[in-house]
Amino acid sequence: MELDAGMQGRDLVERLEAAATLLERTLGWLEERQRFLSGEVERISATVESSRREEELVVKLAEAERQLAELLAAGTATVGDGFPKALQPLRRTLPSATAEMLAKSGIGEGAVDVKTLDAAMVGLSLEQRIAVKSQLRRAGVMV
Amino acid sequence: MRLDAMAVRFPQVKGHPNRVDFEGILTLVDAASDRAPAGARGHRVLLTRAAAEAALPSLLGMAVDYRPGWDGHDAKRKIGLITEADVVGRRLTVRGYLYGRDFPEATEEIRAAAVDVMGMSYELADAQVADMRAEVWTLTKATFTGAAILLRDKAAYRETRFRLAG
Repeated sequence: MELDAGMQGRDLVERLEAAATLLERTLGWLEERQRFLSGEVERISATVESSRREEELVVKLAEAERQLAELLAAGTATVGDGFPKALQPLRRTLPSATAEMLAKSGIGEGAVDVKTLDAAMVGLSLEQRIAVKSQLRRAGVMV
Repeated sequence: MRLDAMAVRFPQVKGHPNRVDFEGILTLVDAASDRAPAGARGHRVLLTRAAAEAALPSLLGMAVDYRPGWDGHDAKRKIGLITEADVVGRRLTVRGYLYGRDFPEATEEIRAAAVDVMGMSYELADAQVADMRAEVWTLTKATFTGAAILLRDKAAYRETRFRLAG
């Protein structure tokens, strides 16, 4: 009997505490609402307020600009033969058979002169010459 | 042109080592800010001439502060004092001095900055907004609690200015 009364008392206290918390929240909301309706603003600074999202975007933009600058710098830098560094990977797209054939004729890694190329391809058919030339153009090594 | 001015008089001390005179445009009156100020919940604001004139006395004796990076306010870094405030046309101008000896690096940074780089930002308390739902908040009453020196592009009003005299 006493146990039941004690439990009921605790339950009642908990319910009262919950109700008090709810009332406090409501009061806070009402005060905020009242301030809004009255047009009072506690503090204003004439500084541009930047959100966290904006700050993140600014950081990302700075990083993108840095990478772009690096790529542009790499793109304009050249190696010994005057070929842009950034385009060097294209040269590796030349089929190995073509590279071997050119190597046999004394044409190496550097830019290929058309006359030298024609001389090297004397033994090839017209179709094969056209194919080699188009491969070299795609690789960007024909001058 | 209408002009309203107010100043506090300090005894002149010729060659005072810790006073570096400054002048600046703190804000514009009857003109909407270019961007939303902090605390205005995304609204641009317009300080009416009447509110600015009524608030001039509250501006005198308030400090100017700065934040490293010159991008906002830091009330704990009070670098100088406002001694004079005028409303000239649509400009609310201020004069005063920085504590040049106490803040030599900051003073030098301002001195080294290009003419149009530095601006100002006010700090207001207890502002009264005519209509909270308006796109641009019209401030009909306010109290100045201070000001900051900062980069103009960080200021809500782009037409603000700050420069050291001499």
